[in-house]
Parts: sequence; C-alpha cells; structure tokens
Amino acid sequence: MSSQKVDHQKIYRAVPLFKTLSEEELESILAISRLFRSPEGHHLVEQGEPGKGVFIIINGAAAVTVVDGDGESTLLANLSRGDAVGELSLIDSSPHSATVTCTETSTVFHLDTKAFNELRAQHDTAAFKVLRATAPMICERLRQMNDRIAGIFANPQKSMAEMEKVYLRKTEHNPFQ
Amino acid sequence: MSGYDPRSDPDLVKNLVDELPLLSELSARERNILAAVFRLRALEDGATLCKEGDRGASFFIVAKGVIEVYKELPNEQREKLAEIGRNNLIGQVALIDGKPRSATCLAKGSSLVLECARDDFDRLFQAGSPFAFKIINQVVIDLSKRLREANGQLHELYANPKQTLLLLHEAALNIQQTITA
Repeated sequence: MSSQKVDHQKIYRAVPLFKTLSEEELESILAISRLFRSPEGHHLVEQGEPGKGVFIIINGAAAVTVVDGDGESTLLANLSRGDAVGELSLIDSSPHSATVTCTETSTVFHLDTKAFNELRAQHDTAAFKVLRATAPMICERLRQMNDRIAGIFANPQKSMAEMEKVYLRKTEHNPFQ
Repeated sequence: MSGYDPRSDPDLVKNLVDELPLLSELSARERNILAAVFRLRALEDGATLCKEGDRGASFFIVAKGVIEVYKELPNEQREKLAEIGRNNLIGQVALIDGKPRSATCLAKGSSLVLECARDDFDRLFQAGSPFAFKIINQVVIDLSKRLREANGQLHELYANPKQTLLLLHEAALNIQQTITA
C-alpha cells in the first residue's frame, strides 16, 4: 500500500458521510467510487444538471457558486481538503442547486449516484449507513433555512429595508420590470 | 366490544404488523421480529401520544384510527398542523437527531399506534433489517424534500421582493396588533 493511499484513507475516515462505516463497508463504497485529477476551472457539477453524486476534495480547492434569474453569480462557499458536496443527490436524483468549480488543480473523489443506487437496491448495509449519515446534515441545514426564513419575518421593519434594496438592484438591471 | 382491552390481546400486535401495507413487503420472519420489538399504544379519543418538548426516543406507526398533530401556542392554545392516518409514520425525525418532539400528537377517536424505540431501531439497523432500511430511506427522502421546499421558499422571497414587501407589511401589522391587544 502506498503512503498516498493511506493518506486518502485518513481523509475518507474524516468525512462525516463515511464515519459510521466499518473497514469492509468503506471498501465496498470505495469499490464503486473513483479518484481523478481535475484541472483549475473545471466544473465538478453545474447548477441545474441531474444529480451526479458526492464529490470530496482530497487535495486542492473548489468554489461553490449559484447564479440567480438575473444572471448574477454569488459565491456560497470555498471548499478545501476533506470538504464534500452533493450529498443530497445521493438521496433523490434532483438537480444540483449550485455549480462547483475547481479553483486549482485538484484530486477529487467521486461517488456516483447511479452506482450508489445499485448498492442501495441490493440492500447493502454500507449504502444505508451512508444514507443515514446524510440525515443529520439535512436536518441541520433545514433548521438553518427555517431560522433564516423565520428571521426575515421576526423583524419586518429591518427586512423591508433589505427587500427594498433587493428590489432596487433588480429594477436597475431591468428598468422595464 | 365491552370490556375488551387491546393491550391484553397477545396476537394483536402481530395482526396489526401483518396487516400494515407499509410492512407487507417484509418476510414473515422480519414481521415476527418487529411484532416482538414494537410496543402497542392504545389511545382513547383525545388521549396524548406525545407532547411537544418531550424527549424523542422513539417513533410511531399509526395502525388504526387517526392521530392529530398540534403546535403548542402561547396562552395554552394549540394550532392543528396535520392529521396522520393508518400506515403512516410519526416522530421519525427523532431517529436522526434525538431532539425533543416538535409537536403534540393526540388521538382522534380510539386509535392504535405501534411504537418503536430508537435503541431497538438502531439494533435493527445494525443487523441489516430491511424494515430499518426502508424507514431510513423514507426519512431521508422526506427530509431532503423539506429542505428543497425551504430552499425554494427563501429563494422566492428574494426573487420577488415586491411580493415579499407585501408579506412583510402584513407581518408588521400582525405584530403591532399583538402588542396593542
């Protein structure tokens, strides 16, 4: 076993998605995954495309961005070693909600939704442990999202000022709206 | 039937398990295991299944009757959120986060509910139980759907600021009314 492979194992172990897996179960997930080099500027996933699965940055860096209806791009997060994206696309095959672009040449781990679903259809324990591990992440994001929505309405005066700015910015882009 | 107490019927849980469509794909052996694991809750009309704020150490499957889900409001009021019928799950998010119950559940008419403790569920899951996999599958699909809906809701608020401003005016008026009342 090369020292590089040992290093990878350490990273997989640290990924919350794989934390509950036994050695053997991790092996069965690795067997259906691939590791590849991605050049700077390469899109790992694009907003709106069907769910491709989970990507984990093993080495390098990537940026998560969304483009809104007016073509305005917003940076949501910067990813570095050990960070994962696309967990939700393992559950259903709904489209990716953001674009992920490598900001330098990176080594990337990919667990493909289709291969994962085959494992899931066989009632493989590893697949269900990974699936179960997505649930607390979704719960946490759901709670944050609900808090944000509730926060907007908890202080309407403050939110009105913010929404007026959003409205002005939108009408500047398109004065005929 | 007068004097009939469902809790003293040893075959009842087994019969309920055998007759639930949710569990019909499972093998007879698996259903026997579940019948031994589940605890029966027999509820009269209006009886409490669980209370908002209780520790969530189990989840429920409605086997007969209807369960009403309420949000507790200040000043002892309750707002009805949903009615859950036979063959549906209640409180399953407790399997994930073990956080306190987010709602109060009461029986509407006399109802039978199967309760599965979180510890028992974890043991079933570890043992590779098809039932446990099925429940987890359903829970993560429900959760991701709720997350997508919340994402969409937030996106909508920013995509249509004009509409959002109207909603905020309404919210501001409501707050003012509560203060003056």
